Amino acid sequence: MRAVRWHGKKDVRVDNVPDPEIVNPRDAIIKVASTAICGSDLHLYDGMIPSMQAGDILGHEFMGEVVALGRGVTNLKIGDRVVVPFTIACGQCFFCEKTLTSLCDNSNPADNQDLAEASMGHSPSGLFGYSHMLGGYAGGQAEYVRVPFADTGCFKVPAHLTDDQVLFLSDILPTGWMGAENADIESGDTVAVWGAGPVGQFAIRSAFLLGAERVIAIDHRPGRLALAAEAGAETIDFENVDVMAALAETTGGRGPDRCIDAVGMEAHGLAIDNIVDRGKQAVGLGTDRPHVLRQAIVACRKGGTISMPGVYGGLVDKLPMGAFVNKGLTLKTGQTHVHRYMAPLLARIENGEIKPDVIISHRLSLRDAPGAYDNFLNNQDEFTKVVLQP
Amino acid sequence: MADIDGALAPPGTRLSPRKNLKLAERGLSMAAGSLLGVLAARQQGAAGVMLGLAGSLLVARGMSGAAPAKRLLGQRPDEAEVAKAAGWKSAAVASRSVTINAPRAVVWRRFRDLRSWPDWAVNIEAIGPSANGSRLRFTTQDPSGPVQWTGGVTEERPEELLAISSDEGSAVPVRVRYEFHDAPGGRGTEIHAAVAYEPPGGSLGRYAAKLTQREPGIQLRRDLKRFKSLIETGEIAVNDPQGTEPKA
Ligand SMILES: NC(=O)c1ccc[n+]([C@@H]2O[C@H](COP(=O)([O-])OP(=O)(O)OC[C@H]3O[C@@H](n4cnc5c(N)ncnc54)[C@H](O)[C@@H]3O)[C@@H](O)[C@H]2O)c1
Ligand SMILES: [Zn+2]
Ligand SMILES: [Zn+2]
Repeated sequence: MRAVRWHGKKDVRVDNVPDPEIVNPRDAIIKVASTAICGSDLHLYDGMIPSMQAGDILGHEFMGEVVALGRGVTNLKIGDRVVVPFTIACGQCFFCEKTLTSLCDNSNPADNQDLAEASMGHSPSGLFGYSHMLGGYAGGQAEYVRVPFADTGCFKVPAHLTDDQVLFLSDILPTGWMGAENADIESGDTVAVWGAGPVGQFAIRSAFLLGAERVIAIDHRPGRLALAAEAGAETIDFENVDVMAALAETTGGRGPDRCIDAVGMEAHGLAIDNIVDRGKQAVGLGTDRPHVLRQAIVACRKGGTISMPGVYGGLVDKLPMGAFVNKGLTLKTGQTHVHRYMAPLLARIENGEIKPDVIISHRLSLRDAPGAYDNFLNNQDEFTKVVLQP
Repeated sequence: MADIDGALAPPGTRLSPRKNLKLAERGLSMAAGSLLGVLAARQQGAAGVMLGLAGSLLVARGMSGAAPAKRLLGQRPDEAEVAKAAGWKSAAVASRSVTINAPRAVVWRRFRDLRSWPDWAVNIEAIGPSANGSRLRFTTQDPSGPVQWTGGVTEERPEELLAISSDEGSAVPVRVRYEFHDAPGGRGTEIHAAVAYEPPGGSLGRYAAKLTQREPGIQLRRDLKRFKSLIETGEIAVNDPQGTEPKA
């Protein structure tokens, strides 16, 4: 089959590889119909996430048709049309029982858990196509993909909805939603969202649905800011406006009640701290650029909440911890517990409250993946979200 | 021998003193360091700097009585005790605990079924009765290939404790001990495990085994996770085949 494989920093190729097979009783094989490139994939593309190996198959946002099932899967049948959460979860461990599925104890293979434990103390769940520390599983930017624990990991979707409408249930729609939910929004709140990428777009829309009165989107891509404005957000272009001053003024000096970091470890921009972090990354002295998190802490209203769906990979420094403590802030984060949100968000798609396909800018063939990665990184204003068809 | 034959030492009480040098060793360290310092002063360039650095490290080692390298590579006091009691040249003890989301009776029943250990213990190929039926016959994987040895259950209290030891003079000198407790708050069962073994090649051999991931402590950690997965989910997660090319 054809699959998109990571060969190194900024080196992604479409290769011929063996088809996946059923290995464990609870496995399924999915024939991929649609798959997307995520902002998280850009961290891999940029070589920012440790423990990738040349030849790893990428992709964690995908859907398709069940074509083979292990003998342990009884709730699916061949031909079912399913969306697959990017977090792999067993459904039976302590964490899965609490619906904290991105923290599953059992989906990251024991040897791979060692890598995660060495740096994090404990291992989170395995993910599709997202480094060996986080599972070492082949991803879904391919014609076929093996889905472990398929009985909990395959979510059936109704025929009357198109792929474009349901594909993002695999990751970014629940991620934006959980990003807003984690912000503890109360009615009347003003919510600031850093990053108007796909995750930010869904966080903005979710924040309104969860009762925010005002949402302020911060980015430097005019196209993406325009998309945020369509959802009713006010916008700040950080290249041309002083973000801190603008946030303070527009909120009557209070600061936004809730701040959402939908940017993560690779902040753009020429702020001094970000330039220093960039230098440290270049020479291997640092891993992450937490410029947005720093800004959010200082901008946030006293007693407010910071929600951080943006991904960080390693160590950060120069965090304004004094401000964090003295302003009594709360920070919530995590890889998304996707399973928990699929059914309720599907209902909101069906009743028209959420229209996930508005963020799609390009529909391309899987063969075009190398160019699509390049454009999604370097031509972000035009390429808001790329869907690939095998 | 608190660890492996008596009750498991409570977590955190296994002594590994940071200050691990005897008085004579400290004196020697300081003297050697000062000598290097004198030599360094006579050297030019990089060699002098390196000598000076080594000298001052030795002096610091002697003054503080702390030798991190020795602590990393050497035996801990509890390991020395195990070695003495077992009649081994030296011993390595590793311990690990895991929580399984299942009742103690279920965990015990599956764990006590020694024949099924190869399902989750990667290094064990088979466990069965020995030729005369009175002992257990183990087939395990060594870096050099499969080895066979005999041993037996030395202590057993159902749902509480299982201890297994290799027979004297066996090819693989090892003792393991597993304790079973209810986790607090109805959160399943904790297994507290310890493995003691005579490292082939002493402390350095143990370090080499760690580098090749063949060290029993590493195996213990991974095996307990695999056992947990098997009980909780009915299978053990694997990521093969990934399509990744083997490293050249
Ligand atoms: N927690 C999860 O489970 C999860 C899931 C999916 C994605 N993510 C993460 O969410 C983040 C966003 O994902 P995405 O797909 O939207 O990525 P993306 O790269 O398409 O979007 C990021 C946006 O942030 C903007 N940005 C960069 N620097 C900024 C700054 N200083 N201030 C304001 N905006 C800035 C960029 O211009 C871009 O539009 C990534 O870190 C991704 O890894 C997390
Ligand atoms: Zn993603
Ligand atoms: Zn689980």
